[in-house]
Amino acid sequence: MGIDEAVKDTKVQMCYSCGKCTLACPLTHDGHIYSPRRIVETILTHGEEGINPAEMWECLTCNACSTYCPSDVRFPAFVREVRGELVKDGSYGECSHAGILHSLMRLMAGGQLKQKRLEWLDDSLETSPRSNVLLFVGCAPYYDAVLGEHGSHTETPKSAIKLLNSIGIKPRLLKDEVCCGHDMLWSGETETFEKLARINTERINKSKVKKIIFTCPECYDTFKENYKDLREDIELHHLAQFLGDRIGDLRFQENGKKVTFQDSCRLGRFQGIYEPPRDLLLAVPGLELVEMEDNRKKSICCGTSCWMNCDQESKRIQVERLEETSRIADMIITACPKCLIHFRCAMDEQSKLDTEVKDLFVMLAESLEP
Amino acid sequence: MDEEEEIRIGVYVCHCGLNIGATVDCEEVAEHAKTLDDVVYAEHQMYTCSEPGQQQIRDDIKEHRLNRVVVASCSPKLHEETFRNACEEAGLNKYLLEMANIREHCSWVHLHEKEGATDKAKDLVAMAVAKARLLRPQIEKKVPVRKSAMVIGGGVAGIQAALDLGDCGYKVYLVEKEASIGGRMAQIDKTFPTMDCSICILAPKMSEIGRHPNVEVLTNATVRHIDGYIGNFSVLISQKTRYVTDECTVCGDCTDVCPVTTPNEFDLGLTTRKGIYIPFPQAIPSSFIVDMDLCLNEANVRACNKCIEACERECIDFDMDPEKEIQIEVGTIIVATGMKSFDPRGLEEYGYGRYPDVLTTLEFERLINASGPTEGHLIRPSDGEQPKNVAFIQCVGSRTEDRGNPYCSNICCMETIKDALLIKEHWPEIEITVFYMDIRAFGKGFEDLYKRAREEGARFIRGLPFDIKKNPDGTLRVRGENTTLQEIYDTDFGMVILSVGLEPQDDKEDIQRLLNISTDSNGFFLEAHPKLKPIDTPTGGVFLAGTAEAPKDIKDSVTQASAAASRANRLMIRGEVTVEALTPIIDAELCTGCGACEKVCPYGAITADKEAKLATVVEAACAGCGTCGAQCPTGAITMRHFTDDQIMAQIDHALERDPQDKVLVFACNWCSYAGADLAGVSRMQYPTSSRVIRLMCSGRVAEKFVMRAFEKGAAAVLVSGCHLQDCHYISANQQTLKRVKRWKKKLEKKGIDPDRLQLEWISAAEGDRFASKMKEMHEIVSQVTAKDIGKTKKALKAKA
Repeated sequence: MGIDEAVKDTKVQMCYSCGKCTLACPLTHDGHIYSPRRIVETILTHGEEGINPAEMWECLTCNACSTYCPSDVRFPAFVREVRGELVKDGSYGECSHAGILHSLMRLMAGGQLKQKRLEWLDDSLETSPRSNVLLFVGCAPYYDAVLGEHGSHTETPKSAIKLLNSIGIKPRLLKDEVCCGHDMLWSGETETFEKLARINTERINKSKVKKIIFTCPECYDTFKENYKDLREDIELHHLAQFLGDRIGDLRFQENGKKVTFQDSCRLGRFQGIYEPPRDLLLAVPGLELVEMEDNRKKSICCGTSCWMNCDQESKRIQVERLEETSRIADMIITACPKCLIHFRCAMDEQSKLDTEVKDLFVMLAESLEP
Repeated sequence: MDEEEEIRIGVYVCHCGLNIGATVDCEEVAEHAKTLDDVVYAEHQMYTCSEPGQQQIRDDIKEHRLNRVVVASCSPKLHEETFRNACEEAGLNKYLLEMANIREHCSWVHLHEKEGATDKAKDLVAMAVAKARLLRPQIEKKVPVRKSAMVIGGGVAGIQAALDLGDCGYKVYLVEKEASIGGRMAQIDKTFPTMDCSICILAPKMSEIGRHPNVEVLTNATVRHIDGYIGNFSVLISQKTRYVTDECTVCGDCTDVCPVTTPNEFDLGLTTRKGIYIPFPQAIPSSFIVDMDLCLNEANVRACNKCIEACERECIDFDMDPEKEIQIEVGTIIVATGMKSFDPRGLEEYGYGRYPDVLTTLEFERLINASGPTEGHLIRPSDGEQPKNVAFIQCVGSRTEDRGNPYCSNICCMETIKDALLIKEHWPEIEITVFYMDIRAFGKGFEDLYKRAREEGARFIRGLPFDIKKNPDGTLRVRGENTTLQEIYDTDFGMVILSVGLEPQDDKEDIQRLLNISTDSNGFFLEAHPKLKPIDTPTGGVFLAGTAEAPKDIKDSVTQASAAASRANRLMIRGEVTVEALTPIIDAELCTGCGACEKVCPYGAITADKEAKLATVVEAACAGCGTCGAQCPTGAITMRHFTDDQIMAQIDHALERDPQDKVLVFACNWCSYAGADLAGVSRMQYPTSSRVIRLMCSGRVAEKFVMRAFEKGAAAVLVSGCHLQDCHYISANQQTLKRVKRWKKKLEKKGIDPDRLQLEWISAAEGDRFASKMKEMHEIVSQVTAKDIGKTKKALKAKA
């Protein structure tokens, strides 16, 4: 998609220049303005000459701007398309972690990689290779390998299986699952995304899977919005929503914690799932849920996306969020592995923050009646 | 006319300047017309609707002895009347005119497909000529028009319309659902741009109407049912009782002793009222009323006597019937049902409903009104203090795609400017900031007022706030971008006023169904033509006034109300109106009296006598939908001006060339044909494969039409009509629904893909829906193979 087409497709030319987006953007704060309105206006006036690559890579694609836009301008989608064009010209975002996670994604896209993806499974977890319910694990095993210093991320799929087992579901897992491609898609590497999507689509389409359950909101959103060739009869569910519809079947024991919930961009503003995770938390006896000032639609991004451009801005956003948590609750719960890692990283750097970060499903699985 | 007379058709192809001429080769179309049967004369003209164009038709009728005229130009909904008149002036019966719509249905929707559009225009002309060859002169029936009118809605528009008609000498019923007339204008403090006191200029009109000998004001009343047609409407109204007799002198003794209270609707909940109350001091009727939802008494249960004891004149009577029904007969109806203001609770970032000092503009009007909750003092609801500064936020709920309404609400800019000036007038020390996207001050005197507001020191900042948060000291922090300076503002205000837009009333669908009128995509009532019939609705004798039609200010509402009264007067002053000659004729030879027609007639206008083996039509009751004609098993019913033969001839000519590439579309006059016109007016592009046949109702579509189309090799057929609940013939399209289902099954049985026959409900406001359906139908066409069509023809012939 060229720039002109992207302008039309994402309704960029409908901008009224009202300016709501500028303040909606979590990057805007004292002394620094990130204004989608001005960026759009510049590109509409000057065409490709008006594109400032640094601004394009700076966007968190969190969708806050678009959520409050009266003209329904899809700025994050526009940024995604422009990034695709920038990559064609050899301009990339700044990769964190020496780019190792991006390299892994590109490796997986080759399709030849023999992975040991399910080493974390243990005997207590019941799975079934013939089940028509697939649990899409996502890249948690890789996070353990690369980012293990911030804690284990395979706890999330383990907890997911435990929760599903408790309501009588033994999910199937794919041995040869590859990255969903979310980060490649949103960092402009469209071809790599297409390859990854094709591999997953082919592998899933030829199985008899009827439902796919996701713990990662990014995988969920990408499958839902960007996997065009997936078999149409397959239902897609985020686990929070799936369990939220089956709260009556879950048995929790007392947990006296006071928690707050971080709505992640993909689960909340992209997919509109706000209440199920809260309903699940409130189903745990004794657990108290308090809200941060900016919650649900107005929730603030965890500060970085696609393993790119992590900097002092990201840290500022994360620390502000965690400071608010420490004022009102014992811990912050999130249903997104990226939020989890980013907050934990900020915690590890800023030891003075007195709070805890936990994955929703880990929290719920810990609270299950034995 | 003698049946044996030679048919002589004249064809006029209009360029409409470049509107048609730039896309369709009009000369080629006219040349093609010359080759058609019975066409003795054909030409192309720049503007056929112009006086010279019409004169040419009149001259040619004489010179070439034309006895049928075909005009290929715009939609018949625009100029059929014009060309019918031209024919009549030349002595030709007006029913001998036929139009081909080569603008809205062709050139405007195929702007970049000159060849395809020219080809389509040729077909449309051939179809019109084929129908013209079979046209017969018709005599129109005259029906009497009652010299009485009903105005629904007692706001300023309804009041003005009722007064105008009452002054003309007609009996007028003004029906208002609230306890008093007055509407929104009664709640407003001052009007723009003249800063008049709103109630001071409205109240005299209200009392005038209360006293008017020709106007009957029915408050607390709802229209339940409407029967009949132009000039002759029977209306059933139900009126809730007030439990207070006309003897009431509004002394207020009753309200003083009443023990129950509730938020006062008139003050938008900023004050309370009692169970027995008068809505506001100037209310008409000037009388108290009991709110039975609140009163401690119930039917047959007397729990509290306080008001009865307090009333010296003994006006309060709890034994009255709770509701009465009123039947009225009127010739015309004016819809002035008004609007409501946007509820900003959904824009939670502005905190309305959470922060008491965030108000809407209408609440502000009450707040600074002398008879309002604070007796005109500008004080904060939270602490009773006067704010040091006030912010106005524009476009709240307006020009907002997902979380509001996409349209501009027309009045909010000026309302804010007026409110800003009001504050400055009384409390010059209060700082005013208006946050806006665009200031629209387009009316007479508006720009002057805007300038005055700036002169008085109101600040206008371009850039809407993103959010409002409450500070610990109770002030409101407003954050946003000043887009002119590309700077962040982050300012504390004592009070924030949300300039909320206007929305259609919640009960708009009830009115829509009662009167068979349509709404536009925003929910406002749709006018018959946006330019030339802005007051009329498609239903004869029904007119629009005020904000029910679109957001507008008081002046425009009053102007439109007087226009509506004038349109109604135009009908009533003549006392009679001609109705189109579209009723059926029964062939006694063929009719068996089976009663199939009687079962489907939505009006009970046709009755079958089994013994006499004959059905008869009550002409006055018949609306001409043609549903009976489609149901008759023996072909005994001839629908005048839309006969089976005429429609069959149109089908045959639509499909004469390359039928395998075509979609035959049956469209109803009121909704789907108008929807197709709107697609044209809006220049929505779709493939050239469609050929539309206009019928009065989708209920006119008979099985044989559909089968004939497939037999002729059509790739696909679309039957389209009004949405089920919106049928202009009560429920005739319910028959369409049943029939199409049956025909699809029949096709399937014969091994024909039933998806080639489609049914779609398209309203007059849904141009986009028509265009997208045409694209979808084109997709179907591209999947139908020559083999499929061969098989279809064979399967359908086998039966014949």
